[in-house]
Amino acid sequence: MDLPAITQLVITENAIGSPTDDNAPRGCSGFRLDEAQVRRFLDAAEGVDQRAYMHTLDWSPCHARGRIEFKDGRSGIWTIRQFQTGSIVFDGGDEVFLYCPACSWEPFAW
Amino acid sequence: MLQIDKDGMVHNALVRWRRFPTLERGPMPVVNGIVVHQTGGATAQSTFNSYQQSVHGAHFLIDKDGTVYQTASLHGRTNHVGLLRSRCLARHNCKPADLKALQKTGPRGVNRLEQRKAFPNRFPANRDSIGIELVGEYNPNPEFGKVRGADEYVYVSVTDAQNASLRWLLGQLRSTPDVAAGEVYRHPAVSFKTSSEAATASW
Repeated sequence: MDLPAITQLVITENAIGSPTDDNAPRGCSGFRLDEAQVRRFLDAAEGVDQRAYMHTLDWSPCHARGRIEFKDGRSGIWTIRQFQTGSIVFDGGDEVFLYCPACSWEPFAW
Repeated sequence: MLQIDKDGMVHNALVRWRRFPTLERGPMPVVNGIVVHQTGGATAQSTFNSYQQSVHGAHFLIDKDGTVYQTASLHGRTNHVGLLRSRCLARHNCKPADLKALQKTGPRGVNRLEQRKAFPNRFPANRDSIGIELVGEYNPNPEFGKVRGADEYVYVSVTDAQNASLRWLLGQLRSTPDVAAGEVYRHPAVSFKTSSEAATASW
């Protein structure tokens, strides 16, 4: 995905599910990313449309999430999910959806 | 009980035909379950438009006003379930070797392992289930960014009219010989989908 250079990256959530789906019985404790892995995903992921992210591709509630700022001044919340998908919801309302089939490395699952 | 003709189409004043033969991917001699979905779109027409070019779709579509359309023959399987979740994992009753294999793999591996099993040791799959789509889009989740872990988007609530039609259709299907299906699931229960899809469908 052709994103601008990242100027700040913070992880605020890690190895958790959603309030309505905790991935029982396996849970989400096995999906934990560090900063380098987040950057690696964002660098390797390709853009997909919203329908692909929400409806077509495999969905996992297990995710890491945090804040991100780019060199072009935009900022927002990034989310990366266990089944190689992700999103960036910008503070201005724009969003991008991501899929990284090349991310066939732990702790992703495919 | 529904009257079904030799082409697998329902003859009932409450079911309108909008058949897309390209959705029918082979015979479906046995029906073991019914899977309830939401379309991800706001109108029935958007689903019909996508069905013109897709091999993915379900047997029925229920519009927001409760209108029921049949979109594929009940004698044909359609691609509506996706990759299967593990039934024994969900029920906490996997055999030890099965559990070990399932825990080491992701959705594709789980699906491969599950598809080898005969029903009822797996969830109903494309080859033995009827799909019912409910028209319904997803909207930004007001809890996103405020509640820890909240999804970015959530599906809209199923309308009362949709639920009334769903209850009617399920009752009819389950009492019709050859399509009587003992199990009804929301899509996320059997496949790797967001938990808000069809969460408000009731029967």
